[in-house]
Amino acid sequence: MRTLQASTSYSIGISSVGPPAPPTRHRHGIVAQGVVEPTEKSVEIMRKFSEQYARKSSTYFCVDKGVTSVVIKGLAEHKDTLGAPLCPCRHYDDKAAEAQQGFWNCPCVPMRERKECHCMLFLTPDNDFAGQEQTISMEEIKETTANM
Amino acid sequence: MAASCCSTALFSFSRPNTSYGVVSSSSVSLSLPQQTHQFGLSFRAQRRLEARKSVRVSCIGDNKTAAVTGKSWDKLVLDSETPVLVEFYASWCGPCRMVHRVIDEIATDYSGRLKCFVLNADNDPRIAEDYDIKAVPVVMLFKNGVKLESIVGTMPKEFYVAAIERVLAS
Ligand code: SF4
Repeated sequence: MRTLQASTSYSIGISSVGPPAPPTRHRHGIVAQGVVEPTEKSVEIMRKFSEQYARKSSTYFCVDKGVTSVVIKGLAEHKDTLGAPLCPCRHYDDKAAEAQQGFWNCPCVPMRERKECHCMLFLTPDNDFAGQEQTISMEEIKETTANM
Repeated sequence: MAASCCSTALFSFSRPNTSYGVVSSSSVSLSLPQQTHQFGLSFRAQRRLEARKSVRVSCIGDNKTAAVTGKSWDKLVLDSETPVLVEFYASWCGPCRMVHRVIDEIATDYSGRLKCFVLNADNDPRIAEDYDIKAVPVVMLFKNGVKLESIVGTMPKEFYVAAIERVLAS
């Protein structure tokens, strides 16, 4: 038999982690196709982190900053809902357990060990998609994700 | 999700894109590695051909390809008489959006011969788990209800086209 049907699985009981969510806002993916926006505070934290880690690891953001922006927002969303910036470019059976385990918390183990970021947030200069920038502004993030 | 096209086009190219030979998308004879790697970043050599082209100006939320869900899966994918392409993605996966754009193009190019769908793995964990989805994006090709190809990562358009041609010819 198959496991649990959509939307009921991994979101239960996580909301106690992290800052209290505003009462009107449901963070978990019950809304089909609905994309829940991360808090601005978490986006700012992950934006700063990304700039710092790019410099530290000598990697660059994607030529398409839209990719960078979406990933930063995804990290922020996980930080809001799970308390940790779990990689947004993977699917997990159990997000809460995965966030606790830590392997895929950004910067993940493959990034730290081999500079492999399949999310294309941190690209080595030889990568064809690598741009020349290690900075991204809040405005850029807002602009490139305005239509989501 | 079906937002109309946006004004926030991404003109962020930082290098000139003049020196790359562009392989026409009808060419399927590229010598691509047969093995499917975990991550698309291993395909640097192949990507060189297409990188500049596929980082194209487009709106990020503008996903034209229809969605398939757990409910419609059997009908749209497994029971389809036409071969089917499904892109598994996650809500906040940046590179998935690049692949969306490629799949949108492919859906147009192969109209009538191939049905294209996207599936949000976050919204449909059952299907994602059935197909053992880990890293996203993953593009799968089905024919007569059987999965024939699975491509993990962010690839140049030619790479998907080559896989589609194999499936159509099979
Ligand atoms: S692949 Fe690793 S480094 Fe890249 S965004 Fe995901 S967790 Fe961070």
